[in-house]
Amino acid sequence: MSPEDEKDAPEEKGSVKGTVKDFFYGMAMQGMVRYALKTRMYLEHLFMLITLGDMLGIPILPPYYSLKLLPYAVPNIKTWKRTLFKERDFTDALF
Amino acid sequence: MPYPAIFVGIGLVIFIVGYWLYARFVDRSVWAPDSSVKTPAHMYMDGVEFFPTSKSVLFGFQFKSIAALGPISGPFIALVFGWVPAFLWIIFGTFFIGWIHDYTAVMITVRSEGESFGPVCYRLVGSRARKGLMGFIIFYLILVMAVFAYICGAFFKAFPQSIIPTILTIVGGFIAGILMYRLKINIIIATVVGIIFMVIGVAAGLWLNMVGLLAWVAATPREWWIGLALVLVFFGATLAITDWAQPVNYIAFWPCFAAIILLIVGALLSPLLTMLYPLDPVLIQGLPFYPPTATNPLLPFYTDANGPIWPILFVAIACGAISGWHSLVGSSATGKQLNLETDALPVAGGSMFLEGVLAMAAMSAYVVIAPAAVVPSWFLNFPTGAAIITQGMFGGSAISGPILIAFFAMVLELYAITVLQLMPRFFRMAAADLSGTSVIAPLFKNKWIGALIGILIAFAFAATGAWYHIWLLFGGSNQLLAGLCLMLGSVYLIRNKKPTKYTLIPAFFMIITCQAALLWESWVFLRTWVPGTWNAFTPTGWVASAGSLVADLAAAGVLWPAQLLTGIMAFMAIVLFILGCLVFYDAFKAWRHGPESEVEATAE
Repeated sequence: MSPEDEKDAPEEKGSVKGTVKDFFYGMAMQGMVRYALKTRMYLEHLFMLITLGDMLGIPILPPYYSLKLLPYAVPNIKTWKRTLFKERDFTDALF
Repeated sequence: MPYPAIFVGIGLVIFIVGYWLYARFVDRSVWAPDSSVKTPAHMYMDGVEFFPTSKSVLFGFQFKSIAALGPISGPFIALVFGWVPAFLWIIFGTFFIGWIHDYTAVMITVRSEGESFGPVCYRLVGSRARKGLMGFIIFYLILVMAVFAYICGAFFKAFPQSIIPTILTIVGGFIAGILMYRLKINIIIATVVGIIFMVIGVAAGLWLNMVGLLAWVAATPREWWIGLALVLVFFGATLAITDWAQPVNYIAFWPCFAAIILLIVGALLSPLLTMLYPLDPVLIQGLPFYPPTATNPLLPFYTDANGPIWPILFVAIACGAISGWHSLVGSSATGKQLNLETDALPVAGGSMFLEGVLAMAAMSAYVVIAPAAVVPSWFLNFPTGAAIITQGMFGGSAISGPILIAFFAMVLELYAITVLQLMPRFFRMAAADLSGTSVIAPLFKNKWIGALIGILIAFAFAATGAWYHIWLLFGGSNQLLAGLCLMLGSVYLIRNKKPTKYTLIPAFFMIITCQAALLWESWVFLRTWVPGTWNAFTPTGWVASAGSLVADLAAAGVLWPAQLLTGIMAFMAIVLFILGCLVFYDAFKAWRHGPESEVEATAE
């Protein structure tokens, strides 16, 4: 793995206490946290679709405003496009 | 004899051996995971769906998602054939089939760039198989809703002391949600508030029951209580998920998890506890392994009420041995968060082995009850048995028994409700997805109407009282889904020139068994259409258990509601059978093409 990926990987605590804590977190909170993050992702993607839709061939806002917002959206464009174009079915919504 | 410790101890030893020898062997020789390969969680990291997560967190997530009502309720049906076959199926099912299924589902997703079940099925097999699989899942969701609604209603009626704790836990969850999401109060405080509501509920329910204020519940129809459960579910299915379903499920998680721990630890400590606290003369007695009788020489391999041991036993114990639900969890969530390929075995395989231990502990709760004390509706025995096993850990005081019975009954109801709350949502999405642009599509796209349709279907099925057979239909579809997932795994492996026998043999076994079970159940339901037979079956519980609305109507000579509902269920069993055949045929064809085959999607 590259150093960048190693940075992305979660910290390995190693201790028994850390493992037990992680296990409890996984059981009690992981689903809730993922749901909250997913909700934010959908809203952000919707916002990007409205403001930068012309990137996908949907001209909604005049390009001037899109251009003003572009610097804020740049870090998320790759993920946004990939998520939007990804093939999905309802099993993706199960968890 | 300390059966609980023997069951759980043997299970624990065999599953540890299974994990360290068989599972690691298959892991290395078939899938050969490589910790240096980038998983989809790294490749497509978006911090949301794809996010590398530590294996301890993911293990907890996977275990929580798969360990619910299935491993706890399943064993009781299998016990009608005696505990030996049930014991052996949990051991061998988990050892040779269960873990490899969960592990395969996760590994396919990891090796397929994070694709879920549907897209993987399309890519490996074709569009017809994918549509068949999606249709199959819709029927599966309906059956889950019906069977869990019935369990909930039956427990409310049989254990009235658990009604108030269940409702107050849900109220506590709702309040915890307001505290967390609206008032931004610390989650620990919100959790404590929710738990306090639950404790007050248990105390109130117990007290009201002891003074006789809940005696009237026994005289009410079971349908009332199924209706109450579904009303609670309707809120969960239609309100914003952060307002109701999510915080309620969060608060319900704590008692449910405590129950699992109590059960496993209590079972393991049972030899010690039995010596310390000889609480009850019937403590730790086993149900007999039914010997053949003059009227039924085929016992325990065939019973009139339950059918033949094969295939019924293998679909009765669902999640404790193998479950298709796990592949949905693995492919739609866990596979997308796996940090390293090498984590797949401890996360997916390890969770399944642990669930096998839970199934053993749950089974032991049914066998500690003296035969004379067993209630005819066997699944209602769980709280009593679980209380017997765990009572010793609380000093064996007289009050701990009733408290534990109320607690375990509440836990089963919460398990059912927490799963049920999400089902109408999935059903609505699946139905909207499949109905496409047809005239009925707008109905499913409306969340109120879509959820209501799902709930009403579940109510109608649960009202038949044919719970036992609906459970077998659910088990049949659930295990068949697992078999089809194993088939997909075999197609994937052969495409990549890997050995397929470890997945293909279990796939064949599960698919043939489940198809046979579905055919058997469709025959059971179709027989109710033979004139004059409905009334003859009713008293034996052949299809509808006594006391259900449609059975009462049938007894009064009004046969059409019963026949309509059983006809629909026969139709459902046949449709599931046909869809299963279709997906299996296409997958088998893809497997036979071997490694050099090209992906040819069947024309729409």
